[in-house]
Amino acid sequence: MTSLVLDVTGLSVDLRTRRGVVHAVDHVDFRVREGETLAIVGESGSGKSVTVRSIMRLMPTQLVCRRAGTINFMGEDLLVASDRHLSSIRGREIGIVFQDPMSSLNPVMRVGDQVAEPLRRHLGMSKSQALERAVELLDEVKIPRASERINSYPHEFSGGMRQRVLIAAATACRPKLLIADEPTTALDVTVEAEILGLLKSQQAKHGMAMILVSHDLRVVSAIADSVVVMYAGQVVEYAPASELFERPEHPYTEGLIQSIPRILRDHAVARKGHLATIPGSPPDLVELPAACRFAERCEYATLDDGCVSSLPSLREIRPDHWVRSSHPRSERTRSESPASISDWHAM
Amino acid sequence: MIEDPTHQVGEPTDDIKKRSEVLCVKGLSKHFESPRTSKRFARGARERSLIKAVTNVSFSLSSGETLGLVGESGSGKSTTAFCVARLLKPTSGSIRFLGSDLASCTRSELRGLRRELQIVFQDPYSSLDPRMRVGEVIAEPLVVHGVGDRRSRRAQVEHLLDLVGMPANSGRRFPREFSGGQRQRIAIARALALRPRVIICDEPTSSLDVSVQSQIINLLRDLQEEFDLSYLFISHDLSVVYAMADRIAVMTQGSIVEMGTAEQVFLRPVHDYTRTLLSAVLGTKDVREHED
Repeated sequence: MTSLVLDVTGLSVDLRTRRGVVHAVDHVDFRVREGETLAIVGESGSGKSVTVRSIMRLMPTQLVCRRAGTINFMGEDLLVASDRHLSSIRGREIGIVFQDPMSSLNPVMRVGDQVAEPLRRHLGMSKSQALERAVELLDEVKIPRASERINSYPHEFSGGMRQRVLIAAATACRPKLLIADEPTTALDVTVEAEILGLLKSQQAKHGMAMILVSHDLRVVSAIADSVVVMYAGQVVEYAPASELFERPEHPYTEGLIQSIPRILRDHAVARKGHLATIPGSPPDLVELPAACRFAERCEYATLDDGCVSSLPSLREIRPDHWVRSSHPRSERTRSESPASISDWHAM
Repeated sequence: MIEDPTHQVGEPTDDIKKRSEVLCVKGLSKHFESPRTSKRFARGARERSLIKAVTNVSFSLSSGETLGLVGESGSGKSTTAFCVARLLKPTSGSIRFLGSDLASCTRSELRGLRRELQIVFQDPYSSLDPRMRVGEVIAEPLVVHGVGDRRSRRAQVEHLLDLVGMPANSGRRFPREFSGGQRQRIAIARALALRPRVIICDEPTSSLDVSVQSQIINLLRDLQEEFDLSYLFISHDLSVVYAMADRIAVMTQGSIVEMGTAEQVFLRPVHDYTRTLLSAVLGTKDVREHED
């Protein structure tokens, strides 16, 4: 059994906005083991980014008005750790790769120095040692002619190359955990596949745990071991990836999987007929009902079995498969014809 | 890898060929001069270079047809769309539309032609004026072109809101009160106001969430059927283009490298670049396989 790297329990984060308090993250639980890739999926406003940013305490403090729960990282609770201690963890024990490689790199600093910075800061290397190491690191993420490119500035790199630089910097100190927040969203599809492959190989090489935040189920299905599906600040489904994609239980997860236009399968149907959709839009996080947050958009919601009067709890429907719904697929009497992600792979 | 023996590639184009051609682009090119570099950055100031964003692009669009234009960033697909909408003046080439040439027509001719050719942009957050009420946003094209009076325009706005599936009272509210998907519906209603023949959709679903994206695709399809609209549908997302388009043109480095029916391009791609693009999308599964 590999050891637990991160154990998040009951994480809640409230944010202060002009319109009122937003319950951005509400009792979120998940665990990541050594060498495991956990994906957090959800649409905009689902709380996925606030969740991972809260792990590193990167949310602007003037915005956060309440935090609760525990974030147990290698035996210590990051939620109550001192700022000083946290900054010694960021970049050393936990690396992070953001969505937009241009705004996360310093435009007026040479690329080599940016990769060397965490080495000097956390590992106390000298400038020349760190630069030497930066060349090796850039070489590792397949930047051609790394020894010359360390003197380049970020604007001289393409989007994909910048993301490689960020990955090199984020993994420079060989962190235990790598957080990748929408790492390929800003990239073209052909580059996306390369970057995902690179993340995966870096992880395997150094045995890191990885948290991947994404709205793209295709990306998730490509590299995740387990998946947390978030909706309106809550975890609605949590299961091993293969299990989730083959046998999704929550109506929202099913809807997400079905909404993706599928290529090369039933194209007559897919192209001429209507695409499956989830009607409506997510609830307002300021005025949340004391009900299932998905009820309004759920085709199975009824008045009598509590969908609109109480919030369903997250329960383990099969070993390791958690779902928050009164109408999970395996408990429905009316059998729908659900599409699983294997459909788009069945060519 | 892309084979489907059960599927007969029929001749969906036959049906389309019989329909009348509404738009015909021939030899379209657009070159930009790079901006003059100031003397302080003398290293880069050698010469003003020419950026060939679009080179010799030709395609046609029939009534009721959707032509998908796919490509990665920098492929020239948006520049092409902007030239067709005459938001940019092409360097050379012709754009035949309803008997006139959009590439060379006068300002007043252009004004008339624009009634028949509308555009829906990618970002519904920046494409709607935040200070205008939704009703005004939708009625603006009618006002600009002097269609109807205040009263008939109000009725028209209500009808358009209904068409795109928005509540009738949305007209009095502001764009900021709506979600991304709803704003895109508003943008579509505005584009429909003058009952155009052609709508250029520039990445209309790229800034939306998946579940909302499919709602917008369905809406665009329904409207196409109802009004016999032609779409020039631009996207970097192959699965969205596949769901929308009758024919697909693949662009890279400013040129169309492959064009054919959606089935041809997806099932039997000829050009290497198309194959690369397809395998990148379908190949996400392969990442996992390589790791196992």
